Amino acid sequence: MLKIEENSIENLIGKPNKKVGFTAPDNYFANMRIAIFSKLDIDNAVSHKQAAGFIVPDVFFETQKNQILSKAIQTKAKKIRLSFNQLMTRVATIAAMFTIAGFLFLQNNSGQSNELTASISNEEIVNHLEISDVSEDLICELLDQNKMNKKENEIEKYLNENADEDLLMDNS
Amino acid sequence: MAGLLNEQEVILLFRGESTKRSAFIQILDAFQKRVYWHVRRIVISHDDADDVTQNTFIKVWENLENFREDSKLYTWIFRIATNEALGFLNKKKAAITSSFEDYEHILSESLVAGTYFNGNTIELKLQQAILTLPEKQRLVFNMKYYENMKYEEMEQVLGTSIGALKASYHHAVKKIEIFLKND
Repeated sequence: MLKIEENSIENLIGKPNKKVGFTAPDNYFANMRIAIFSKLDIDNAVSHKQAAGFIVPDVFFETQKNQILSKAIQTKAKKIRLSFNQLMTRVATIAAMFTIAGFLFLQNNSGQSNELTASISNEEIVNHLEISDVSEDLICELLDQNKMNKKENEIEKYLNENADEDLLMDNS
Repeated sequence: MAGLLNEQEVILLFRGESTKRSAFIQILDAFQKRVYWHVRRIVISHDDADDVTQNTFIKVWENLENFREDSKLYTWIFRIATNEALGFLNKKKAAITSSFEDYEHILSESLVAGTYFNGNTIELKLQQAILTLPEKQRLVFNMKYYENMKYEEMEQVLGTSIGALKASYHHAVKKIEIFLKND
């Protein structure tokens, strides 16, 4: 198919006449190349062929080059910021730090609370309740609200085993 | 076709953090104009060609680190540019479906009215003839006629067999001849 196209070109312009036997001065072709390059603006010649009637604004390619570079650098920065794996690693690290810190804080506080409770004697609590205006109704209400864990049968069992019957009879 | 650029060296430089930018500038210097003209002949409008060319090189920047070097850098960049340009054209075509005119006709008219076309009558007629070609033939004709691209390179860019490319070019030439004779 290509051969047909080449033949049709040769039909139009004729077959090239390949003459032999002629010679050229030494370095002629090297010098000719330099001479031609000095006379022609090769870049313009090439771009003219490529352009084929299309034109671009003045200094367009330089401006476009700078725009591409600027966009590419922005893309790079954006990519670093949004790197999913790095982001997840950082989030996980921060979350772990908060969890450990929270756990330690709660443990310390609960220890302090236990120590404080242990340091207050039962007598002191009774005295405080007697002095203060806390009524029995209020205490009952609070106990109901707190929903005591011990079941009734456990309380009964405890009373059967430990309570003084005479004392119970007197109170009733 | 890749000119003075040592592709492997540039790719290696691009993978280094401190040399990445200078490597990219070398790539721009080597291919920016060729890519622009390639895209320009597909999308016709200068502004559109500018956008598509910029998008092409942004993709090059983003993906060159993962370039597997199973093809030449030159053909890889041209493949991106071609896909970007065709994708752009398809979006434009979809956006004007309400119009009675086909998009190639609009492009043809824009050559006459456009700010950035100063071709003579023959160049204008040739461009109008090229715009009547089917998409694949248009691409092949432009790459062969204007860019002197080898069929082997075109095969890598377009993913079409050399035989099919030669057939496309042949049909394109015949259709252009008929268009010019009848006009």
